[in-house]
Amino acid sequence: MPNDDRTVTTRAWTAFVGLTPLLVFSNGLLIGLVLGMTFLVVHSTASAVALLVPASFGQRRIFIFSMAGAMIAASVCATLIRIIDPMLFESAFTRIFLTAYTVPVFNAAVVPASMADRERAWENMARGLGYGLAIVLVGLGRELMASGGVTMAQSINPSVFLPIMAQPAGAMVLLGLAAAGFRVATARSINR
Amino acid sequence: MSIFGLAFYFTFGGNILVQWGVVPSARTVRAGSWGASLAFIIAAAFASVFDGLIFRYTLTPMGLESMAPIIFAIFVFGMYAALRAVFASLGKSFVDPFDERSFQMTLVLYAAAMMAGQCFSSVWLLLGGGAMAAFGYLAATRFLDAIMERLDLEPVPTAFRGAPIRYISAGLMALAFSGVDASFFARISG
Repeated sequence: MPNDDRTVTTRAWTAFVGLTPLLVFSNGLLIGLVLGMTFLVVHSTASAVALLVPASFGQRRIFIFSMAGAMIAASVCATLIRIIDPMLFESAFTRIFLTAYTVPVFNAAVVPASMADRERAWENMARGLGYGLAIVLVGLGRELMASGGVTMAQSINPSVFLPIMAQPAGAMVLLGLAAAGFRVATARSINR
Repeated sequence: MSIFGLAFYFTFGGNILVQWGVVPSARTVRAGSWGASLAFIIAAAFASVFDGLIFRYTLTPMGLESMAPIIFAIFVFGMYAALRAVFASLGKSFVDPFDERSFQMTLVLYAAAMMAGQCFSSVWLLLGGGAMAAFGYLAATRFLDAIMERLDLEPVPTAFRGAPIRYISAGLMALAFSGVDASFFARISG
């Protein structure tokens, strides 16, 4: 069996891999909340626009409208964060803008192919909620592992416990371990 | 950013993108020809210049930094429309790139543009920084692909095969390069 399993790529797994930039940037509870909520808004906007624009517009135009909606949603979220906490905006604005360019958002912006897909569009919203929650949980877990505690204040928790977890490299190692753990758990549940 | 910084981007630019979580996909380079890779590098260079200049000289003075993703979207869709027009004028059909690979490339373009925009000030450095980051990303893709091929010969535990070992390899690459960056290049380039 090859190590790089290139043939088996489910849509959900691809989307999760596409979420990696946000999971990597989510290195604390506060930034995780910011990214998770922004992602939820952006993802929901993209899927809602793809659903609401009449199919007669054509797949390409609907995709462009959906992505434009997602960009505007990202900008609105960034503006709101800037109004609430300018320092948080300064430290996180590049990360916030990444939300609109992730694979799950691109997938959500693609118009549903059939009427059945259109009727199942609410699943897209639930998926966005799940991804957003994953971003927050990863942020929480990484801050806990890096500093041994969790805080909502900026730059108060020093990474003294397991500093690598606050770094991008640590995030990818953690994601690799989590994916392996998930695979083992899935295999065990299937064997039962 | 000095010429040393530019050399850093030329050699290890991909590391920055790996650190941004833009993990190179196995299909990214394998599916692309030399021409496609060159086109991607040129696109990254122009995206960096466009994004950097608009951000610095238009959005920041007006306090509209939040509009950055919209501006980049206009650039991407504008380039897309221009490509369609060029293909139409040449009488060739243009395939809509609505697949995972083109999505990831858009993300890389955006990341490279933002990264170069933050690090460089002049047009030439923006142009060079964007191109070098794209080159570095393609190189990192090759490195990661080579690592995965080498690991095919090793008895990797079943649970770690596929995506998990790819993530861990990318993480170790990012760790190694960030060590080199922090201890050597960052000191030289300031």
